Amino acid sequence: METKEIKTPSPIKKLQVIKFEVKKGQTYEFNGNTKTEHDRIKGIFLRLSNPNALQGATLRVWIDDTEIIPDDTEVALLHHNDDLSIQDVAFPLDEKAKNSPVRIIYKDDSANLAVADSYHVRAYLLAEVSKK
Amino acid sequence: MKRYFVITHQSQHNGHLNVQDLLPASCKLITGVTVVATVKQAGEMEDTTRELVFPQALITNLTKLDSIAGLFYSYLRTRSSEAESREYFDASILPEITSVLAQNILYTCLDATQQQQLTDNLSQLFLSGFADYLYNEVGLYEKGKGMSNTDFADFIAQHILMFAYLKKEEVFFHTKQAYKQPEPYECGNISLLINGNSFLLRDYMLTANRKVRNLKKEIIPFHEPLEVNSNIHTVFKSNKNSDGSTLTIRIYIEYEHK
Repeated sequence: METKEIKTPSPIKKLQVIKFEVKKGQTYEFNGNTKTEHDRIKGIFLRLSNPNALQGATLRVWIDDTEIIPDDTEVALLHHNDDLSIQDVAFPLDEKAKNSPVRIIYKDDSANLAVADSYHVRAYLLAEVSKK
Repeated sequence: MKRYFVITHQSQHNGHLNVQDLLPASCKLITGVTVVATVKQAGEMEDTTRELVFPQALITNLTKLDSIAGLFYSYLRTRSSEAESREYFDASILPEITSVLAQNILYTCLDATQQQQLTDNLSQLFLSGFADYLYNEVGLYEKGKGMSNTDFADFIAQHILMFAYLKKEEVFFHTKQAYKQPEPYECGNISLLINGNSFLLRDYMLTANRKVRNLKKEIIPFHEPLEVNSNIHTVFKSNKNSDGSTLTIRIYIEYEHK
């Protein structure tokens, strides 16, 4: 009897970017949704436009109503440094996308910024779309 | 799937810590742990000098302008003596080159006074040093003798660029007020115990304000199966280096979640 190997097609990788501006000392709450056309969220990482703000900044993240990053986690641990590849840096997770809610609470507590400073935070969601 | 749990404790006035926390019920297998200590200090301002990007393309384009390229008539290189040639260069050509460069090299990141400073530095640099560089180091008079007008213009353009590049540290910088990053220092020892008998960490030296890398690289791997309602015991012995600052210790527990 002939057996045929059934290959599951490898999913297509996509990226979703969430960008917001944070002022010194501010707590910013982001509420949004993952993209409908994405199936799974496989990872998350962040980048700040001003890396000096890393120290003291913390965040908490929910995807699909699951807390994936607990309160008071330092942003530095999820920050993409230039000496790391994206594969290595992304915080691995596996949650449903398809328009599921995303909630990020970002707290700046940095001592190393000028008072009027604000900076941009970009959160990158690594998504996958399974081939039909 | 891995999940994380964060425990935050603060030590004030070099205080020791001896606390217990309940681990989440779903935490049945600890796979790793990370400890990060930070001190929030009032940042001090300091003047920092940052380099500006050397405007290579801009200078190249400027030297191609008619106002510079058109200057180099054969007149200059056919002067009968070097002294005469240099006198002509100083009097007629150098001021023109300097003013074209000074008026056109503008940085949008600088405010008016900083820009003026840069313009002044640039003019000063060219007026005082460029002729010496061309005549003494490059040997313009001898080399220029056999060149055609366009070659000669190219030759000078090239050396304007080289001269500016060699001296870029004297001109292309700006000073900025920035907050000092706090210095890392050893702040004490930490021990983590599970259910009062099993050590995750024992007298682990904690460095405050160190540069934290990505979570994956920070995690110290463990394999610690747990019973339900386990607790974690944190013992921190300060080494009295923190003065009056509040030390925040965060313990990240990585665990397997089904």
